[in-house]
Amino acid sequence: MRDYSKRSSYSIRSQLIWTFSAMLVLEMLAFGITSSILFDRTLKENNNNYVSQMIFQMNGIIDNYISYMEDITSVVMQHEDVKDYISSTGDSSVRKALKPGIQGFLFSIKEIRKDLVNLILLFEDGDFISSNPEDRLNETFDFRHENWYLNAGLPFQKPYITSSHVQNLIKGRYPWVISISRSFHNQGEKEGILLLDLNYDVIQELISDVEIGEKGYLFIINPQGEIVYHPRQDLIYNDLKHEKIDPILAMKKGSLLSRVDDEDILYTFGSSADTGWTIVGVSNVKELLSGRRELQNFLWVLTLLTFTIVILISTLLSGRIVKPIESLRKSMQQVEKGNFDIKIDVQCDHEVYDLAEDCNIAIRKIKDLMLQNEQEQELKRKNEFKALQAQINPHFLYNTLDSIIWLIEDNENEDAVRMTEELADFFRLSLNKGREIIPIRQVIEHISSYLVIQQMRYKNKMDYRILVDPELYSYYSLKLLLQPLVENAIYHGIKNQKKEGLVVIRAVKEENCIRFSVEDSGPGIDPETLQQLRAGEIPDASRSGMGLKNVQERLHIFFGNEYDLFFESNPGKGSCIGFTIPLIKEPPQ
Amino acid sequence: MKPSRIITLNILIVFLFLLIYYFSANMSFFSFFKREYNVVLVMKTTERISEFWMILEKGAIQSAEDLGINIEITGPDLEDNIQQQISIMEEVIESRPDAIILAATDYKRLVPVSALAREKKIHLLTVDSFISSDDAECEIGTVNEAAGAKLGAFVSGELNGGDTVALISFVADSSPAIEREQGVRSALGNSFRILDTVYTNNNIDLGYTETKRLLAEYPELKAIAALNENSAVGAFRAVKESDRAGEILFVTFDSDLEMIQGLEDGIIKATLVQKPYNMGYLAVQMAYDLIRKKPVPPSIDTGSELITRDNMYDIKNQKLLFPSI
Repeated sequence: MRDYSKRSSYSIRSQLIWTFSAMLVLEMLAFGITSSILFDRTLKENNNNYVSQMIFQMNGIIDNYISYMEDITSVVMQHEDVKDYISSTGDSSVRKALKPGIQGFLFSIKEIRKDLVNLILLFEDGDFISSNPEDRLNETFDFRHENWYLNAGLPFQKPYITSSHVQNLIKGRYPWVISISRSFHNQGEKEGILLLDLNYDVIQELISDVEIGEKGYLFIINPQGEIVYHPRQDLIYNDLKHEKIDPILAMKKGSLLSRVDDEDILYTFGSSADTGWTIVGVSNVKELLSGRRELQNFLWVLTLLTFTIVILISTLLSGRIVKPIESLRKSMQQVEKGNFDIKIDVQCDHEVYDLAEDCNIAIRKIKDLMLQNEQEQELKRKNEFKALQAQINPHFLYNTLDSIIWLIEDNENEDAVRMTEELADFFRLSLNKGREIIPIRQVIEHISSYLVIQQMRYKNKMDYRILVDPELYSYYSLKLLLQPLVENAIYHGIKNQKKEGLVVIRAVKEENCIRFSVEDSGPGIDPETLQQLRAGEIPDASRSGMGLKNVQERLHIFFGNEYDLFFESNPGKGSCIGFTIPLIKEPPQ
Repeated sequence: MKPSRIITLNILIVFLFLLIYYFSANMSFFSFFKREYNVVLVMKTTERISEFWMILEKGAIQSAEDLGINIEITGPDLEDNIQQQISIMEEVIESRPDAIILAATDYKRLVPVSALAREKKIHLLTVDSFISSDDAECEIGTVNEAAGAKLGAFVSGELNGGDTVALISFVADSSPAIEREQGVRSALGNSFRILDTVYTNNNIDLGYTETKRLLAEYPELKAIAALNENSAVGAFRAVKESDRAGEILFVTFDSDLEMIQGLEDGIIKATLVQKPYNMGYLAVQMAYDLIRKKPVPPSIDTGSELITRDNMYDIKNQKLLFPSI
């Protein structure tokens, strides 16, 4: 069996609260996790789409720009003077004649495009034509060793594009540029290149306006992995910031989640076939997911709030359920203690009210049944009582009638008359109109009649004293209590004795009771029997035994078990048997 | 509890819900808890001539932007206006920023005002030029002794024992000047004849005349080391003019356009370039860490690069020599 004594953990209130809370927590957890995941995915997808699109557009813009610049190189290369100049290798007079025209041509192009830093034709022999006539070459370095010179593609090939660098070609100027170079040949020999330096700031302006959130940005790398543009270029070169360039180069297009400089970074990138450059969009994941953080925070607040509400509601609700049950329980405890007169009022309007009503009905029924039971018991007791009374007299009647017959036969008429009178009195008092409670006066009268008859029967073999204070006469007693005791005294104390016996009847008022006793001067009771008698075991084999038992039972029935017979014995000198009854001043109705 | 009270409670709760929803949906409710940090950078000069300080400023601004904090940049007009820097510091302290980054114009005279800043519970960091007390919680800059030693080691490697070396320093009692000189001297050791240090007081003209005097006075002079930008420019002009240009081992600290050409031409054999961008960037970052009570090292070496004609166009050095401002 489960032990329900440790009730607190099973109480309805705590069960309600726990169940509700657990349900809520699970639900919130499931909701939070799924919504976070979905939210994350959507955020990342949206960001990817957005950045990819931006990169696509940016590539378009840059390709457009670069191809425009390539077109410029084509225009220059198509110029007749330029062609002539190239093909006139070694012919310095021709070159000298053509140079100002070409210079002017280059100058006019550069005038149109302010984003051109340098537009220079450079020749293998060290000759050059710059858009700016004042330009002098920086003689410290040989341009023929520069990458953009060595790697310049053939005229029909795509031009070579460098990453961003400092152009130290012209003396005294060190601009940051992106160089586009294209070689030209004369009779299969590399004759020189056309160098077009783009102002790096222009590229920077094209891109730097693009923003990916607060912390995101775009950067560009060339196929060699060199940085063409990076908004934090200074940080990169100063080793304060890093980018994972190799995997991006390997993939060309797509997206990549990476951890760089203690930050989670989402790279989204795409390459341009024209320039070979890869534009990389960098999104800060933390920033990207800041929306999720807000969602999470909101969920937390929501959970906390709902939690409080749930606890509040379940406390209230359980209170509404538990309180009536508590009061019902208290009422039932009263009923357990025997108080059937209460009416349970639980002050509520749900099932517990019905339960309480049912309990009320049950209590009422139990009360009715108990009353009924009591009445039945009473009836039964009365019947038993009457039967016991009825057992008393027959023998005495026969014996007395015998004695009367003997008196009449012996012509002792006077005695016969007196005996008959006493017998009549005895029976009148015995019956006493069916009343059970009679005044002690009548008890004494009744016992006197009995003793007179017995004395006459046993001639002078016995004597008796009735020592009752007349003050007690007005109290009431149960009838036929004393008579069996006296009968017993005569039977055991007088009848078989050779000497004359004495019977003393006393009634003494004590504090709350009246004590009756019948003494005889017989041999007393042997110790073994006395012990038995005191233990309440009265043998009812003999007639006098039956009488005593009868008295005992009636005392118990009528007054309760605390009113009992008592026995005293003085071996060889006599014994005393008596009882107590409560003080009864008025006969019960 | 009475039904009417439960209804009231429910209405209240619903109202609260709506309120919270409104806040979290319509404004960045939780950003309310984010504090804005204010950092002030007090430079040595706000003059738009000094490339060094403009780059340092650029680094600081970039850092502040990356970290999302506010930065205010101020400083005296000229590098030698110490009193002006002190009063600027006092004003800045009045405005109670979270942190001050100071490039001290004087090693000692900025100490009291620095102590005041610390007293007012403002974080103090020093950048490039430090102070003699330990009021600064973090010093960010070139470890001048190490930088000096780098330059000294280069000179030592190019010379023969017993050669004469001249040192041209800028201010006698400035900490970087002292430390750089110590670094150079310790790297040179005892195997060379080192002339008494010449001070230019950060004046280009004085650098020029003093170098001219040295070249004339000591024809046996094999190497000259100029220990800061202004001194170097003055010395460079003197060396360039002399008939020993390119022959004498002339090394410098810092660079400008004029000196880059000197480097290309081979007049300057090597220059030690500092990293002002790093200084500005890291100073703001450290200030941010200090404000957020993160542990910060007492000093950060932003490093330096020895640049020669051979490596000056390496992509990393391009950025150092030709910072795009």
